[in-house]
Amino acid sequence: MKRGLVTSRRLQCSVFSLLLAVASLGVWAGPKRVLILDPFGRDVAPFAAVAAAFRSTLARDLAEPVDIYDIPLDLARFAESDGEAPMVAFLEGRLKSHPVDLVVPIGVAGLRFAVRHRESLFQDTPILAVAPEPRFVPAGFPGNNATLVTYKVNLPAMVEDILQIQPDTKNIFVLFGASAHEKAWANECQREFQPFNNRVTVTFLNEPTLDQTLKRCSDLPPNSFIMHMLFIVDAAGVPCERNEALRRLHEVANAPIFGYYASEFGLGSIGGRLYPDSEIGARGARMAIRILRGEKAGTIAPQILEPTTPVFDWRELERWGISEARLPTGSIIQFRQPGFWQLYRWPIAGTVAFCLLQAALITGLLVNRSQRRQREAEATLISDISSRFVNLPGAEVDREMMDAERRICELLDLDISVVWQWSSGPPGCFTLTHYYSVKDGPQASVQLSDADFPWFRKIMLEKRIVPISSLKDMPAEAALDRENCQRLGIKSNLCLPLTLGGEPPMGILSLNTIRTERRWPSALVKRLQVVAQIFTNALARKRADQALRESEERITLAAEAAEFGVWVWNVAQDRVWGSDRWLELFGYQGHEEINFDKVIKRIHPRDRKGVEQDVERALANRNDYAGEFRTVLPDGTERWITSRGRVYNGAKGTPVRMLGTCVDITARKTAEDSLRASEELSRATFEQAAVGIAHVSTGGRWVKVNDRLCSIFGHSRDELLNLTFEDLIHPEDLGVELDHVRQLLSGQIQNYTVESRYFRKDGSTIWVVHTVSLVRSAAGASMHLISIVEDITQRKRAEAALRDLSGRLIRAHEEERARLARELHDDLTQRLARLAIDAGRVERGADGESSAETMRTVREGLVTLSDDVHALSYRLHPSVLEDLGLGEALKAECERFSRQGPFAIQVDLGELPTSIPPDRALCLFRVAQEAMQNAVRHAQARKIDVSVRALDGGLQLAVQDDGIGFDPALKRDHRSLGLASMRERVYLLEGELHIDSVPGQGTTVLVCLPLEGVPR
Amino acid sequence: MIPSQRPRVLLADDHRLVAEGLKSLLTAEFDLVGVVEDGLALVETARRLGPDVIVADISMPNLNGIEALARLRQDNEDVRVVFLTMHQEVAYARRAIEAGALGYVLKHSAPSELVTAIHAAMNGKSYVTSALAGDVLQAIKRGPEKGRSPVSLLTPRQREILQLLAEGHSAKEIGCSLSVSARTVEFHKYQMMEGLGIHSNAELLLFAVKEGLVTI
Repeated sequence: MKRGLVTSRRLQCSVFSLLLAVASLGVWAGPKRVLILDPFGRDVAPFAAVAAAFRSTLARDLAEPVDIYDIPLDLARFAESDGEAPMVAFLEGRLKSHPVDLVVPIGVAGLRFAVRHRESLFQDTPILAVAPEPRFVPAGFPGNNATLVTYKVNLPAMVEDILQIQPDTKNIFVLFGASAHEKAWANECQREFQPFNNRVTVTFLNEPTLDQTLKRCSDLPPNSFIMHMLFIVDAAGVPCERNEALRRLHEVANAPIFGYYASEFGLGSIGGRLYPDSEIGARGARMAIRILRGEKAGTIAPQILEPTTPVFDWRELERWGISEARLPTGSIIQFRQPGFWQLYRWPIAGTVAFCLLQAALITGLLVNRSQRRQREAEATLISDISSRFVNLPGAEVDREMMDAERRICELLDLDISVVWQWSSGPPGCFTLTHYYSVKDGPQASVQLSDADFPWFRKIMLEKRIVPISSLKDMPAEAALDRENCQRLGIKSNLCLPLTLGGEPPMGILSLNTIRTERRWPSALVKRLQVVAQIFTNALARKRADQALRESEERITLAAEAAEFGVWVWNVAQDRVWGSDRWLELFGYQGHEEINFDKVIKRIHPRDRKGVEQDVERALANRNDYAGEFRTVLPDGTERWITSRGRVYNGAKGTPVRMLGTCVDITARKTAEDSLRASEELSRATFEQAAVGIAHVSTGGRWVKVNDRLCSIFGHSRDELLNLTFEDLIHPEDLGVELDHVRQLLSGQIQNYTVESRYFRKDGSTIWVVHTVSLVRSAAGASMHLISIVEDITQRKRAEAALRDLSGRLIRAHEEERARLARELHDDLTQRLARLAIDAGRVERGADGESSAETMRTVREGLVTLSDDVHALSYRLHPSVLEDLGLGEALKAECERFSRQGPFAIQVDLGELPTSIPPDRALCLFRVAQEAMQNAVRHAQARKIDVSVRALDGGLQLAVQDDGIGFDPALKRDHRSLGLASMRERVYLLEGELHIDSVPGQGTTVLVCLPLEGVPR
Repeated sequence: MIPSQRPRVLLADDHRLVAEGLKSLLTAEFDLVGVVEDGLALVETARRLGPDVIVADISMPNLNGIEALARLRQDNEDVRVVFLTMHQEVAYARRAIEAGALGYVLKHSAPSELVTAIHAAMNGKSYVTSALAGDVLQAIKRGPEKGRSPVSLLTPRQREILQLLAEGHSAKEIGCSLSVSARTVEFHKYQMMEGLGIHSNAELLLFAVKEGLVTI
């Protein structure tokens, strides 16, 4: 038994889930089905364009899934009657298994097919004929379950247009295919072109094949025009692909082509009053949507589109030399000139490519920089060997080297010291870069080809040191070298390779004597080797410096372009250099001296300490620096800056400078701050709200719930997340909510609020106010539902108790009045009547005049008393309500009011149900009574209309007056006008009370009361 | 047909006290064939005894006098009933006369009018108590209530609503903008159509256009 219950609950749940899934798709009874009868297949204009526009518009605008069957009937190839049978049989089968909601024949051929087979195929399905030429529409169509949308072809206007734009036209060649449909059109043309016979010769081309037609068109007489009408199949029965035919025709034709369909405009025809095929399709789709949404096809008036505005192709006008002045007034000219994009496509693409290139360059340089840094680190390390060259700026290397050369020469009594370098000149050449001569002092640079000194080159490349005291000592293989040395006047020579690690020597330090020969002791050579090493290091450093500077310059350029500010801090000298952008970011003007302290002063006091610590740490650990901080400019504006820097170490590994970049991130920071604030706010709202809030998937599953929701339902968060809302909702309230969700998902409503019952975990029922809204993504796809749940169980209970109480009060009150009224009527007045009767009898049988007179007085007194008691009884409870019904009671009441003053009271009773439950009759009676009383007492009304009629299975009472009205927003009036009591009475019987009043414009009290139903 | 000396009268009144008083009043001139105390008994007894005239109260248990008369008239169109009641409202009297009663007399006027009314009924004539005669006559002359007379002019509120309707707003939207319920809007619309003798929305729209409330 228990198991059975559980199973049925599960089953129920899965049915709910299914319903909800279906609801989320917005589908209840499967997609709508539409059958398109396409007469000639998809490739034939204009029908193809009509059908395509119809399909796409329908799919787009219907806002629910639609299943479109597009059946090409291929009618062109078959005579109407004999070839159709298989198609009809096919459709019959198809429609039996898949009945459709709407049949849409395209063109007149499609329509005829539909009309011929309507009875057997789709007798009761509405038909929407799209684009049938009005002159060919079968008699009796559309009838009462069909309609149509089309355009009326104006054949004479085509010839008129041709004659207007090309007045000297003598021949018009009209192209038609050979199908029955086209022949019919050809006949129409022949007939309607008749009136132009005296002005032009109209020839109908009916060559057997398309190729022959094209050939003919390539050789037309002067002053000709081609009218390209329908060309579905040629005389041989071969179907033609429409656009292809027009394209080929345009290629070969020696006369302008008058094309006719809007969908083909631009393919070679000159233009004119185009047949709006796509527009017809789109209009048809909109009509179809009305029918699919329930409108009767027969009630939708057939639509015939307005004549279109002439449109012409500028290129064709140019080609055929047709002046724009001749075009019909109001003509539109298209394809006039290439657009902006076409004109400036390459500059735009170039700019984009340039930007991409620049980005690539920046990336490359950043890689390059790291390699250089390595080289520079090596160079500075080596330079430490010599105290003179320690931390020597690159620019001073040359001077220092030449000074060193001078001192070496002076000390060693050498004549010439030269530094040759390979790499800094053209390939294959030594370049003299540093020269000192005792005689001449420093000299300008000279280039020598290494081809003149092959032996020197060899030993230097081998890094060998061969001191030459006398040229005679030189080996035989050095003959050329010796010869060249002699020419230069050299007596002794010592060449030291300037070599760095394993690399090929970058150059040579060459020490020479020219006055005398001299020896080169090995110790001297060793000492000079140190000098060579120092020089090597210095030169290498100089080169690295140069490369770095170039690299930095390029980086700076690139960085500035990317809005980066670049800064360099010379740590030792405490000088800061910044690029223009950096100066701007820190608010510096021009070229003032900047040091670290000055920079720090520009940083927001609250960020200063952090920046100082970060920089110190970077210097101490020789790390990269990174930080975000605010700058405060002299004018007080604040900026958020992000900065990255790198420490460059000197020769001893001590930091000498830092280089880095800065970017203004104020905008991002501001956005981040506000985003964070808003996120925190929403989170707090969500978590701490006093109402239950949940994010619910469109499938009904809770995705996110807050604590309050958990406590409302008595489930833990984890339990809730594994349930769906229909697991908890009371079955009787499920339908309403699902209905709302469906409307939400289909976009009919933005949100909804309902009062529903739900089950708590302990099985108890709670009342909640459930407000649901749909959150959509920017693209409009539905994402999730936001559900707000408020527990109103207590309120509901209190309301119910209150309603019950006031219900009982009103009932008790009415019962007491009725009892009292009955008492008065049934007892007191009857007894008075009896006395009156007796008195009357005595009066008639009295002996004397005076006793008769007395009895008459008594009787009349009794009658008056009886009348008064009766009136009192009636006021307490109108017995007429039970005796004669609501209508009579209202009439009597109106008459009673009429007697109180000069009011025109009209009662209008519609056909009322024979039996109205007494509680409902009494309610309406009391409301009417109250309303009339208000009209008379407060509103100074002169005219009151009371009406009761049956409405929607209930009763509607209206009391209208022409009095001064009141403002329903003022509560004071409500109390004094007894509106609360009216409302209460009506509410108790599940009715609605509406009061419409405007000061000065009278009041309407409207009550709608269901006839059935138990009081709430 | 035996000519009766005295008309045979059946009395129906649930108030015994009154019935007792009437007995003495009636027996003086009529043959009181029975006294019943509710509507059903009246129908049953009248069918059984076939009195010449029935004197009945309107408010009675089980079946009220007017309903009892309707049932009796199903058997015999010419049944003669004089109502004797406490109800002074014209509505009762008119309904009684419309239901086919020949007399309508107030109880406390019984001594002077009841006998007259019964005699009149015997002769197939109507008698309505003098206090109400004028009003009843007028009410009957007016005939059964017809539909209300057409309202020649629309109220300001109705014009407002008609204009909005003609501009294509739904009752709900109009209700929102005028701070009244959709029901009220529907009611005004119904009333306008009824008052103007119009049967479709299209005609109403046409009327609005003609009146210059909207331009199209």
